[in-house]
Amino acid sequence: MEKNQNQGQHKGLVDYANSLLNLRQGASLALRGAATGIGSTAIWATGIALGALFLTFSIATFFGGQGAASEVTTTPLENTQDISNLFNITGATQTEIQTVSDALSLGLSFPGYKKNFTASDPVSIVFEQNLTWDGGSVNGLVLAGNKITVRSGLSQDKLKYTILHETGHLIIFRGRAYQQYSLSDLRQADPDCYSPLGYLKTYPFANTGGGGGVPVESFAESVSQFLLNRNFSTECPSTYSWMLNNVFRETQ
Amino acid sequence: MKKVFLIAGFIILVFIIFLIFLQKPNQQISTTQNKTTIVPRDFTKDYSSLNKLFPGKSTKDDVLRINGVPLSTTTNGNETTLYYPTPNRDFQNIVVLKNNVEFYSIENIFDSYRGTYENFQTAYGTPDLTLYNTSEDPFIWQIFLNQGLGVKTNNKDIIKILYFIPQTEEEFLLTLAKKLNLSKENITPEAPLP
Repeated sequence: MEKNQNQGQHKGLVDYANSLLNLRQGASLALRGAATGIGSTAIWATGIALGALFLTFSIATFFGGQGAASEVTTTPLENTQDISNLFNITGATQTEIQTVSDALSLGLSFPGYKKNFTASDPVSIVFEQNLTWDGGSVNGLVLAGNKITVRSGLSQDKLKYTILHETGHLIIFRGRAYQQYSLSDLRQADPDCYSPLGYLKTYPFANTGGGGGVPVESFAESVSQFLLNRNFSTECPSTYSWMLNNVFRETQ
Repeated sequence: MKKVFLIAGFIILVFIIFLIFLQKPNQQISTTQNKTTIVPRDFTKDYSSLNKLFPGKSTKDDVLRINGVPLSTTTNGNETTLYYPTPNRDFQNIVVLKNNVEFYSIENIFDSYRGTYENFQTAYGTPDLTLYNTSEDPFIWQIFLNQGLGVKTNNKDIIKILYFIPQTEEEFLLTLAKKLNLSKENITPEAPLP
């Protein structure tokens, strides 16, 4: 399950990492270009200064990181947090709250997505240790139209993905988009994007089946892919367009 | 001795085949397809006339006259199911006939042309039953027994309408609820997720 999930953790994240690398390469080339034409002493001096700066930054980051890590693992927050009056989070650490907020911000920047959460009651997001369903461990669960339950202690990437996937389930319940979602048509248009069972391939159980069934899970998965996978528009153009026009744009 | 075993084995085999044959339902299921049926395309338009039929009274001829030619028909004994297209290829409306009279029908609703759940409550009062799907979706069914109406809803929008012969709660739970996999308990409320 985890293996599949990691595969499904997306090219999007890989691409994101690649894009960061590209940026760094660009910066290094720019630095080299700037140094050309300056004397060798000046270059040495600049190098030493940059080295010292890097060392200082590394030490600061290391100790800062240690502090943040201990806060995450030892002080879960019991109080309810509020994200723009739309989501109430309970049982999460400060880092988890921040990660959820970051993930939801991605979705809420699209008016159509946001509309699903402004037109109804606030959604409660509850963090639970050892979350299970039907005898098996799960990372997220939607029990009703206004509640998401999430496993505590997920990595930031998994938490982002899980939250956005779960909001896809809430959108099914909160609007009419799902009724107009024709998975048959989308599978036909983007055949490489779907598993033989019919699930969007990135869904962790795409090859084994499970969850709430093929159309429901593929819909929710498409919501998370739309927001997290930077290549979704080119890999699955029809599914992407459908999501853009029917879920993320205001005119849904 | 070997011959005796062979003959005994053969007799047992024939007997087993006979038993399997006996257990098969004697009803024949047949399906017919119709390629001339008009497929609706517009999600915002009222594309169906199932609300103009009367379960328990409307005959097959009435159904064909009022709601048109179905996409396909399945016959199983005295029960005939007519399948009608909707604007979404993945959903079909159904009309179930028993002895050629409408038993019940289910209509998919894609916009607000049948009103909201609030409209139903205003018109018919508090629903007699709240039922849950035993499968995969979080929508609930609100059943108005005396009106012969059931609505699948998120308590705001109407997603599907069930038209049936007005009946008692016991009768409904024993027949239609079972047939449609509806339960008073929310057994599998939602999906486990990654």
